[in-house]
Order: sequence, then C-alpha cells, then structure tokens
Amino acid sequence: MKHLTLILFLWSSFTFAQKSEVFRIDSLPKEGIVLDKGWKWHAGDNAEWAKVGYDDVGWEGIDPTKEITKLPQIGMAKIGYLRLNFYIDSTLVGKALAMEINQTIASEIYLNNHLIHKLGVVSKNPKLEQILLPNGQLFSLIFQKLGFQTLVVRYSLANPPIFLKHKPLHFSCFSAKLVFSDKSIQSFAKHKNDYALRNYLKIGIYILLFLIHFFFFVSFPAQKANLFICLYGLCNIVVFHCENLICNLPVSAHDHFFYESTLYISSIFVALFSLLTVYSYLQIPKKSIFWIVFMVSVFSYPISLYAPDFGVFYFHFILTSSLAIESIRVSIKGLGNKKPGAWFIVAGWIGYILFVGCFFLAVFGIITLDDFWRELSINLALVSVPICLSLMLANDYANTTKTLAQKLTELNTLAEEKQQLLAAQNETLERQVTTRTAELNQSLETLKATQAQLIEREKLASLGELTAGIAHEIQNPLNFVNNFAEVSTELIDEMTEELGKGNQVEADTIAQDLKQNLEKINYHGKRASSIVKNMLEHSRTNAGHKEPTDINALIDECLRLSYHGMRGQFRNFQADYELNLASHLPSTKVVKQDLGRVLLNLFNNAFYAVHERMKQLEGTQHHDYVPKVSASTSKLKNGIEIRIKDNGTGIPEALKKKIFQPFFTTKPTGEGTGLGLSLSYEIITQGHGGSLNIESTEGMGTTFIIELPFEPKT
Amino acid sequence: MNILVVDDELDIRTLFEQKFRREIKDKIFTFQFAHSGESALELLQTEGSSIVLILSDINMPGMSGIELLKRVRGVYPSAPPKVFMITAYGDKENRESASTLGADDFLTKPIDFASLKEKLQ
Repeated sequence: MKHLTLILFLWSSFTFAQKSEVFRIDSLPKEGIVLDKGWKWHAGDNAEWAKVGYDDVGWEGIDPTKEITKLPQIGMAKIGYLRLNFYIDSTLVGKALAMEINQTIASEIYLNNHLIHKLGVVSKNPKLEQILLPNGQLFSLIFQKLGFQTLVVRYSLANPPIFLKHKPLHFSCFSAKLVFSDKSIQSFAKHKNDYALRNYLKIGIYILLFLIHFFFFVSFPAQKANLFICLYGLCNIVVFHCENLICNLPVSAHDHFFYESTLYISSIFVALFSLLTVYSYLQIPKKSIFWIVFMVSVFSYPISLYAPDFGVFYFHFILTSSLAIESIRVSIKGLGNKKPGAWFIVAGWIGYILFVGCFFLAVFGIITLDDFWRELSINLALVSVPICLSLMLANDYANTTKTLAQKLTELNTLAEEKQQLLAAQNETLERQVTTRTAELNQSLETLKATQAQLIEREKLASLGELTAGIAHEIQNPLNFVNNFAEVSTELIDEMTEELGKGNQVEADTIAQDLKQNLEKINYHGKRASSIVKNMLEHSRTNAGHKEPTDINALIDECLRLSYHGMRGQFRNFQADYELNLASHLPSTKVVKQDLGRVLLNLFNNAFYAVHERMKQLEGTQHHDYVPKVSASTSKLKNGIEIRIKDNGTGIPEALKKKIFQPFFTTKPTGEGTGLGLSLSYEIITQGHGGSLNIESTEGMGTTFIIELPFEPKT
Repeated sequence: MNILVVDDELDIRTLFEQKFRREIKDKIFTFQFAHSGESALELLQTEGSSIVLILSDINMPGMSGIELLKRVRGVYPSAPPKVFMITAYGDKENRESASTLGADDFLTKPIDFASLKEKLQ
C-alpha cells in the first residue's frame, strides 16, 4: 500500500511537473526569495479555486509582482484568484518563515487550503472592499509538510485608490518575499525603527524650530520672519508625519490618499514659508519673481497628482531649484542692503545642494557611499535650509540683543551724564529761582506799595475833585450860620427897642423869628458838620465796617457833593440833576465810605460826561440840550438797585469792556487816574457781593446799575 | 423897588425877609424869590419890567446863575434890570464870566447885608 501511494505520488508529481513549470525552493538565501514565478490567474470568485487539488491548467500565467498599472486585467476583473504551486525542500519544513508582502489590492491568503492571512476586506462590492497597503509588513508562514505547496490569493480590486487612476506608481499588484522569520523580523524592525527614528528626529527638530520661533514671534511680533519660519516648521512636521504613515506602516488605500495629499499640500506651504521667511527677513518687496515661484509651488500638487512621474521630477528638481535660486538671488540682494544674515540663507541652500548632490551621485553609482552616509547626506540636505534660516534669525536676535545692550550701556552713560547735568542745572535753577523769588517778592512788595499809593492817590484825586464842592457845601451852611447869627443879633437889638416902646406884639414876632433863626443856625451847623464828617470818612484808608445805611440819604449827599465839586472844577459848568428815590427803602448793610466813594465816582463821571457833551454841542444848533444827571433807587427781591443815569457822551461799544480795567481812562492826562471805575467795581462785587453793570449808547448817555444785597455775604 | 432873589437855598428867603424887615414893612423894597434859574426866568416874564434888580447865586442845579444872566441880558441888553451876582469867596473865574456877560455888581458869600443895603440905597 505504501508503495502504491509512493507510485501515485511520483506519478502525480510527474504529471504536475508536466502540466507546469514547478517553482522550487531548495534553500532560502539570507535576503529571501521573491515569489514571482509560477503564478496563475483567473478572474471570478469561486471558493473551489482556493483548494489544493484544483486544476488551474487553463489559467493565465502571470507575474503579480509587476506594477499594478501594468496588469490591467487585475483591475478589470475586480475580483479573482492567484494561484502558485511550488516545491520546498525539507530544510524549510516546520521552520518559522515569513512573507514580506507589498500589495495594492485586498487579499485573503490561503496555504494548502487554509486561510492564513487577510489583508484588507475582499469584496466585489466597492463599498465593502477595503484595500490595504502593507508597506512590506511581515506575515508569518510555516510549511507543515514537505514537497508541493499551494499558495492561493483571493483578491479584489473593485474600488481602485484614486492615485491608481492617474498615477503609474511603482506599486506591485501583489509581491511576497519568503524570508526567515527570526532574522527578518529583526532586520524589518530595525529598518522600520530606523526609518521612524529618522523621521521623528526631523519632526523633533521642526517642533523645536516651531516652538523657538513661535515664542520669538510672540515676544517680538514686528519680526514677521519668525512667524513664517514657525509655520514652515509646523508644515514640515505634518510632511514628515504623513510620510511616516504612508511609507512605514500598513495603511488603507483611502488613508494613503489622504495622507499623501496632506503631504503634498504641506510641502507646498513648506516651500512658500521658506521663501516668505527669506523675503520677510531681508525686507524685500514681493515682485513678479516671487509670484512666479509661488505659482510653481502651487502647481506642484496637481502635477504630482495627474502626472506622477513628471511630478516627482517637478517636485524634487524644478520646485526645489527655483526656491534655491530665488532664495540665493534675494540673499545676494540682501547682502547689498547690508543684511549680513543673508549669508545663512546662501549657506543653507549651498548645504542643501551639496548634500542632495552627494545623495544622487551615490544613487546613480558615480560615487560610493554606504547606506549610513547616504541616509545622512539626504537627511542633512533636508534640515540644512531650516537650520540655517533658524540660525539666521537667532543671529539677528543675538545682534539685536548685542546692539540693545550696547545702546543700553550708552543710554545709561548718557543718563548718568544727563543726571549730573540735570543736577547741576537744578542747582543753578534753584539758585536762580531763589534769586528771582527774592526779586519777585521785592517787586511784589513794591507793586503792593505802588498799588496802595495809587489807590490812595485815586482817593485823593476824587477828594481833590470834590474840594470845590465840599467848600461850597460847607460854605453855604456856614454863610447861613453867620448870616442868621448876625441877623439874630440885630433882631435882639430890635426886640429890645420894641420892648422899650412897649410894643409887645412886635417883640413877640421878633422872638419867634429869633427862635426860628436859632433853629436855622443849628440846622446849618449840623449840615456843615455832617459834610466834614463824610469827607473824613471818604479819606479813611482802612477797610470799613458794614453797617445798615440809608442809601437814599447817601445818594443825595454824594450827588450834591459831586455836583458842587464839578461846579467848582469846571468853568461854565451847568447841569440839572434829579433824584427819584424809592420811599421806604430798607436800610442796607454797606461800608458807607466805600459805597460813598463809588457813588461819588459814578456821579463825577456822569457830570463829566454831560459837561463834555455840552462842550461838544457848543456852537452847534443843539441849543435845546439840557445836561442832566439823575439817580434812582428801587427795591429788589433780595436787595436794592441804584441807577445813575446821564444824558452825556455815552460810551462807545468797543470801550465798554475796558472801562472797568485798572488805569483805563478816556480823560485827558492828569484829569483821571483810571482807577475810579475799577475800584468801584471791586467795591461793589467783591466788597459787597453785588453787581455793577452798564447800559450805554454812544451820543445818548449812560446808566450805571448797582445791585446790592440787603445782607452781603461775608 | 422890586428885587428878585435867585438861590437854590430856601433859607435865603427867611434871611432876606428878616434882614430887610423894616424896608419890607415900609415897602421900600419888595422881594421876590426864585429857587432856580428857570423859575426866575418865568417870574421875569410875568412880572416884566417891575423887577429892577436881580440878585442871583451862580451855583445852582439846572440853569446856573451865569446862564440866567446870559438869558436876561439876551432880553435886556442893558439895565434895568440890574443884575448882581452872588459868588463864593475866591470864585474869580465865574466873576470874570459874569462880568463879561454884563453883570452889574458882585456880592461875596456870606452876604455882607450892610454893604448890600448901601448899594441898594
């Protein structure tokens, strides 16, 4: 029976060998064997096709390790089977082996009727299918038996990835490399780790770049170059992360497309931000060349998507070269503009060109570099530009700090010098201020004395004006006193005479007259006495005491004094006066001599004005002009009002604002001090809390209106 | 003899009436009194030529004695009536003015009645 079985086996092996060329694996080399021979393909989906004994003689021979785009039947079938029968030597039976798989399909892998791996989800329905790109991932494999093995791949490609529609990417349809599991896993892990390490090392550098320049930008937003280089770093982080995801790890086709697009778009931004960093640092306006490079960058994405072979060239050569040329060009321009940091840009790009050059020379076998140096040169190329840009900004920052420190030192020195100068100036100033203050105090004292003298002079002047009036006023009562005394003496003689005659009636009449005369003498004596008293009050210099005063009586007295004063002072003076005094006017608390001075002043002005007008009209046809000064009083709600009115020359509008100013006068030199109205104003407003206003029409006359409260505020 | 006394002081009347008591009683003199220039002119108009002498003060409110003199002399270029001006002591200016305007004589305050009587005689 055993012999029969052996015979059958040998026959079947023979016939199998006759049917197809058997792929034999006698030993496994260190680098493994790619299973690229002996494959058969058939479109469709039939579970029987996965079985060992199925006769696939009529199936089409195929090499599935070819690029997927070169096997159009695979895509067109949407679902199908790949079968490989191969022979293994006893040295491989029971050994831990592995398959390093690359594919662009969804697959289920069967070994000798057993499903051993599922890569994605196989389905004819595009919605259910999930294509997986394993990126050389290792899948375990153990041959349980000696001899012929049947490896079947049930696959689907119902929904090809977008990039496959346009891109003849060099992706195998299905490639399996048979390797020893233990050694390969080590080497695979090392390879993947090295790849990830390199990528994340670069990402680390860019994170640092991003953080450093982000903080630089936040602390000094005016330097926009920091913002651009920080964004440059950020985009590079995205680029290298995406690269790691699509090249180093198993990824679904959908994710692959997303990551790859993100990578390309981020790369465009990397290019733009590197250029913007340079432009911003060198402060060069963006002209047409910048926008050309900008468009070159932007076009790289659609070109990479729709013409991938050219895209690779475009991206790695045209775009990079244009960036390098433009950066170096503006850097040289920057050097001319005294931007020494531009050397860093030039150095960065020269470094990039050198390292990339080494890499490609090694790739094309012109020079010999082992893997380490090759990797090192390409990675140094990738970081040389950003590191140099960063160094440029750091150098700029250092220079700025250095300049600032120098300026600060200069400033401190200057500040110290200024401080000393200021101190010296202060001292001088203080001395000057002290001297000036002393001088000013002296001047102030002199001024006060002068002011006091002026006020005194004003009083004396007004007193002088009144002298004639006072003389007349005193003379009149004194005349009466004298005349009545004299006549009384005569009357006594007459009375004695009449009594001697026995004429008692006549004697009584004379006695009555005598009595009357004595009363007259008394009256006129008091009148004279009152005038003298008022004159003394007028000349008193100290501030008086407010006391209830009969304002009407004061007005009457002052008007008469003023009138007679003017009479005495001016030849041919004539004027009429009138008093319209309110009866029962409440007595008002005033400083009598002060208010008297104000009234005298106003009456004097009024009489002066009518006299002046009279003089002006002399010899003209206005014979009917009657110069007249009137005074009236009236009771207000909280006080009294005094109006002093004249029909004199009036005050021109332009002078109305000035008449209360000290030393302003319209009188000829020597006739007025210019202090009368200003003192009057002060007495009424400040001294009595009242108001002094004026109504005047030029050529018509003037009215001064005084308002006084009954009880002035103290 | 009708005499017009012009003075703003009311007591002048009492004084004159007492001083010329006898002359008034004996009707030697008749005195009329006006207390302003204006009322003096009115009196002159009503009394007419009966007034032979005007005794006028110079300093009066309204129409002054000088003005009154001017008006009187406007109507009567020469005496009658005679005009005696009563001036304050030392009032040279007014005295000169009055003299120019045709005043006949001057009396100085206080009025020396003895002298006045002599002049009236």
